[in-house]
Amino acid sequence: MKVEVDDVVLPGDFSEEIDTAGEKGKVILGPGLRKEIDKVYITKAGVLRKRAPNTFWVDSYQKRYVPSRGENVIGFVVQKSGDIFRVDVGSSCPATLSYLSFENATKKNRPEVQVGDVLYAKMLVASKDMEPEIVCVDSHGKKGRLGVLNEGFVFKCSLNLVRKILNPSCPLLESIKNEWPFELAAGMNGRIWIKANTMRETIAVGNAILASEYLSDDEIKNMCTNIASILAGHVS
Amino acid sequence: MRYLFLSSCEKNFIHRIISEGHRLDGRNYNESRNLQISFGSEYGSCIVSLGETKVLAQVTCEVTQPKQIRPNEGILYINVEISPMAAPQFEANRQTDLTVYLNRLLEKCYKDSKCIDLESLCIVVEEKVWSLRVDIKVLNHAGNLVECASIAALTSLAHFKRPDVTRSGDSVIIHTLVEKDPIPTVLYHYPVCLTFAIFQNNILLSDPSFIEECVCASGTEEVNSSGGLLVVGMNQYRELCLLNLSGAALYDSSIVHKAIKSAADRCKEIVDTVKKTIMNDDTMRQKRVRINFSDIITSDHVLSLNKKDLNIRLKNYNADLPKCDDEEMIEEFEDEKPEPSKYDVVPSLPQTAEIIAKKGASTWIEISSESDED
Amino acid sequence: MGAEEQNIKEFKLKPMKCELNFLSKSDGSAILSQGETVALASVNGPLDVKMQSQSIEKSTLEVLFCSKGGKPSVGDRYKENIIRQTCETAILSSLYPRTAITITIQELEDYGGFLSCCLNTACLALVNSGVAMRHVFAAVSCALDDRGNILLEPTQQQLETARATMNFVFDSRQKSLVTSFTEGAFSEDTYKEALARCRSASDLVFSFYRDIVTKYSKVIG
Repeated sequence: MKVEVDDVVLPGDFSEEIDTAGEKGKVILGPGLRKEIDKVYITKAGVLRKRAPNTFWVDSYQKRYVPSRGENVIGFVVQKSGDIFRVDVGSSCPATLSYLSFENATKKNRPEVQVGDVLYAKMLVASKDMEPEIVCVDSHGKKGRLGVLNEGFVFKCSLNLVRKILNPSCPLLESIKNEWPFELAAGMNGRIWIKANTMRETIAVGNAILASEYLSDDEIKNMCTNIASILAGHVS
Repeated sequence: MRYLFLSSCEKNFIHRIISEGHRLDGRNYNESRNLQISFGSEYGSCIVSLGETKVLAQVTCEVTQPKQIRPNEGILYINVEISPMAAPQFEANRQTDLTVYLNRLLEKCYKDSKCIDLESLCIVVEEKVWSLRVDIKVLNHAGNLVECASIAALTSLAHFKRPDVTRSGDSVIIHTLVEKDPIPTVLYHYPVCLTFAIFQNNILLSDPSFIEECVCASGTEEVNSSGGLLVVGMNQYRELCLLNLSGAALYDSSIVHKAIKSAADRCKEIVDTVKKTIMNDDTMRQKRVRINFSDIITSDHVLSLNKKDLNIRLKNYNADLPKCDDEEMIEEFEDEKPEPSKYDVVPSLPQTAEIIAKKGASTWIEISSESDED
Repeated sequence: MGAEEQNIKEFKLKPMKCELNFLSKSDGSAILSQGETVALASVNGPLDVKMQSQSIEKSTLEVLFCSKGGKPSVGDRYKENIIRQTCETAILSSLYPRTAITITIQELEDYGGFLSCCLNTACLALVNSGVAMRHVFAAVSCALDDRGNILLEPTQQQLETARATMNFVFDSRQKSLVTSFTEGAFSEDTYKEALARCRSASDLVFSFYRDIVTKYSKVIG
């Protein structure tokens, strides 16, 4: 079926806009789109989006992570073997992490990473034919915010929810930051790490994030004040 | 079975909130998740959901030869299957330890406790008896499978009706449901298995969720005293049918007494719910209302996605916001709003946001800003 | 979509009701009722796979069909085969080499047209899981009664007296035939007639899919 931008699409649909744009110049195809011999076809159900001038993608619902280069992910160290760590990032096979890809790590100076630790890392290699590889440094050799996450709590959610709360127009983080302080790391693999001053506050952050999945912006604001008042003990 | 990995950070957090008196989903220690029972169109088929854990049970019957040693008793057979539908870590057509464990527990609870009148299942002594087969299929494994599966088995057995038979001389006629009203199974008592998670050898959690089940038996660096899972089988007369402890050894037996005590009330409650739903279902069927599993599909809410219970929840959080009653509260908060926030969300790296204190920073924020500088 | 709405149209299909993401642990799941027939499907994947069933070119598709009660039978394996072959054409498995995608289907109620219902449920579960697909597919069943009339989506009573039953699966691109399985005797012309009717009826199924996705599209932005 022929569809337009911002329409609801199903796999097998195609859009003439992408094809005509492709004739004129370069087009960037995001997730959910695939070029076949004659046309660009949609491969995922969701909503077709466009960002000017010529980037197209499909917003879809997904829970399982498929690695993609450059994304920040949260992984669990499952195994230490020789000079690499195996890190579970929720994809079909565990990602590898060299012990040298930490800030200031040398052969002598090994990073302190234990099995069971939670890591915030960047996808360096993500190809369908290769094992994914992650690193805990940026291209300048600095760790930035990457590395081992201590304490706090990690929970799983759908990939959409991560994208939703990271969207600058989403009022969730804006609303709760006013209420109580917390730290948060969102992995694009559907894992979110949270930490706050007390256990209750940490649970409140998790509660607010999970509850916002199906809510509209106004409802989110309402929900956040509601949670804050529970936290403050106004509501019994 | 694929290995499922839990990070030390999750383990520590669960241990710590539980020792502080909270639970991740906001329940009290002795609070269970929401129990729902729905019936299919046939007798003896039901889906039981305990929170997000969902189990399908179906009872079927056939005429077979009785066992040599018990020539006048029918046969009860329980079969548990856990397919990849339950959770991705399970493999198809493969028996796991969990399947065997579950099967054995249910057999103990329903076969060995003699709750079913097997003699009434006899048609011709030494020749023909009814054999009841209970098929338990796990649809979604979100913790406490034992309790959910046992409620499902009990409900389907109590709901099941077998066709009536008449004997004339040597021949036996089995009547279809249309010809003659089917006969319900006779249950002497209604046993139910309950699971308790024991944390740090002295905290008792009823109806543990998946993560609590995984965490309770494993000790961590911070908490080395470990616990385990205690299964208590009990009927509505507060009679104990089975006890099973897996995990670490208990050095304090009073916790078992505590578990049995709280199990007694909960069992009564569950059995009452089961009886009530079966009664309701019966009256519905008598009114010729067609009962079907399609009733569990909710199409009334706007989304076609199923709405889940939150697995991280504050104690008093209510998903359906009471919008009108706390108007005052909202106003109160609006008054406070103009005051500039103490914290600021700054986009740091792509895909991350961080809250930085403008003043009066908490300690952990300082640590993170220190790490920023180097 | 209510029954009244569909009755206006030329073709009558049983009323369909669906809920996605019914199971919290699976990557994608759907429960679908077509009339009184109900099926539940879950999709997990792409996941790691054992060496012996691993393919370096594409992902391995594993289909498991669970009946409601009783022992597994040959009929179950037959259903698994049909579902697997249909889904294999739809999934872009070359995008996920050396992985496995598992589809599990659970029978809940069988009141005619069960295998078609299973196929549609599997398709919805795949849509929900976000696995890349070449196209979606719709299964439509019909029966041939004693007088030679073609009945779309027969009920159980109609099936008992039917001379033949025919099931067709169409893709969403050109509405071309993906799978067809029949039972009983019929003439070639009847087959063509039934195929044409089912093909136009498949539009209803596709628009139902689109409705379902539209309903939740507001929250995935």
